Amino acid sequence: MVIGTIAGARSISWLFGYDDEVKAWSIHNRPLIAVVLFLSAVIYGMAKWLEEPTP
Amino acid sequence: MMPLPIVLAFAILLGWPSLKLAANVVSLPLWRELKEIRRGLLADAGLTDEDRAQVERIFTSAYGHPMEVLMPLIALVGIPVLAMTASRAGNYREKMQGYVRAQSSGLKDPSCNDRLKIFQLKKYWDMELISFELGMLRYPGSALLTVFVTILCMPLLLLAFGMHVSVTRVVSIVFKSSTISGGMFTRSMMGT
Repeated sequence: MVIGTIAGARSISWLFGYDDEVKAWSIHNRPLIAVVLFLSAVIYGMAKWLEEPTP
Repeated sequence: MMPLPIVLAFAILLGWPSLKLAANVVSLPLWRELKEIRRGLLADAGLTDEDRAQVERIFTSAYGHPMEVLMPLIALVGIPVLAMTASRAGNYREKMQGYVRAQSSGLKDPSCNDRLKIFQLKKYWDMELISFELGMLRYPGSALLTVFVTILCMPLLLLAFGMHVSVTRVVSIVFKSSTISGGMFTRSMMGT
């Protein structure tokens, strides 16, 4: 899901001409990206933990 | 200022797991209720093996199906196709009435409804409802997208059906009135 989302974001930025802007923003905001990825993983882990396991 | 692709990516990365977490929290009491009903039904000595198999089938459906992920796509393609069929079908109203008649006669059919004893128990229908709800909550993103796509596409279906009904009505009124006036004109010309 994470790989798909990143690939989708890259495709959108390439298709709609956001490439330079995204690259410049990413270089200066790596910690924020890491925090979002970490939070996403934590929330997903909690969701999986609460999910009823398939028999 | 955050670029748009990054905003979208963050929304998905944080939104989707949050939605799943919220759905699982909501599901917890429903799962407890479902398991309790299932236990009660399976312990009922008056039920046959076929009834018990039906209980298990409904219980398993609460886990959802991976194909539910495709539901938004099916709705996106299916509703416009239905709209086109509605606008093309000659006697759409009759077809719909026939379909409703067939459905209701099927429901009234005693061999269909009383085949299993369990169908007469209120608990079974409660179980089916909870099971359906849990199946939807298993894929919350897909369920929300399906609702969103349906809301977007539904006016298409209504517009196609409405256009078909109104155009047919206008054409039939024009045809009838032209026939009547043509007949009157002919009669007046022939002096009868």
